[in-house]
Amino acid sequence: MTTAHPTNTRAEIPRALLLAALLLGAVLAVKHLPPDYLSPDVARRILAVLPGVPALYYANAVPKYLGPFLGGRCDPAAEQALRRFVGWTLTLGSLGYVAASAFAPWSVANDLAAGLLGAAVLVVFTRLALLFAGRRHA
Amino acid sequence: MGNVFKALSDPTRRQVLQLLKQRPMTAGDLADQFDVTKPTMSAHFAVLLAADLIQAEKQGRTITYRLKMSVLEEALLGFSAAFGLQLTNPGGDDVARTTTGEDA
Repeated sequence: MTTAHPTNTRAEIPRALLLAALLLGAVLAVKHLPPDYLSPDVARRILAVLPGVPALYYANAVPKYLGPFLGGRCDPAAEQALRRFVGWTLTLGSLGYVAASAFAPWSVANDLAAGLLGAAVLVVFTRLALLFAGRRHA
Repeated sequence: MGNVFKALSDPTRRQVLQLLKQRPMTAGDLADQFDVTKPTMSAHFAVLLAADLIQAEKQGRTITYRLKMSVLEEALLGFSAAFGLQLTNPGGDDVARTTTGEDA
C-alpha cells in the first residue's frame, strides 16, 4: 500500500495546461503590447526567460513526483539520492538559464543561459551513464 | 503551501525529514530516534503526510516512510533548519492538541 494518491497525476494536467496558458499569454502580451508599455529590451528579455520557466517548474518537481525509475532493483537510499541529485542539478541549471536570460549582458545571455542548462543536463546524463555502466559490470 | 509551512514549523518534524533525506526508514526506526510516545510520532507523521512531504508504504505490519519533497520544499527545510525559523501557523499545532503536553 502506498499513500501516493492518483489525484497527484490528475492534478498535474490542469497545472500543466495553466502553465502553457501563462506562457502563451506572456508571448501574446509581449507581441501585442505597444512599446509605450513594454520596452523592446524588456520584451526581448521576457521572451528569452520564458523557455526556462517550464524547465524550472518540472526540475523542481523531479524529486517529489518522479517515481522509482529503477523498478526497485536498486538500494532505496541510493535511488532517493539519485533522484535528489537530478532534481537539484536541473533546478540549479534552470535557475541559471532564467537568471542569465534575464540579467546577463545581451551579447552573451543566450549562450550563457544555454550553457548553464546544458551543463546541468550533461552532468545528469553523465551520472546516469556512470550508474548504468557500473550496474552492467556489477 | 500552508500545510508545508505548518509541517516545517516543528523541530521534530524537521528532524524526521532530515533523517529521511539519508534513506527511507520504518516508523519504528524513526520513533526510536526521538524521546516521544508513539501517538505523538504518529501525529507528526500525519502532519507530514498531509503536507505531502513524505510517502508511506505498508508491507505487512511495517510502514516505511520515504521523502517526497520538491527542491523548493527541501530548500525551505534547509532555511528553516539553518536559521531556526519558527514558521508559525495561526491555528496552532494539531500535534500539541492530540498529545498530552509532550514535545510537539
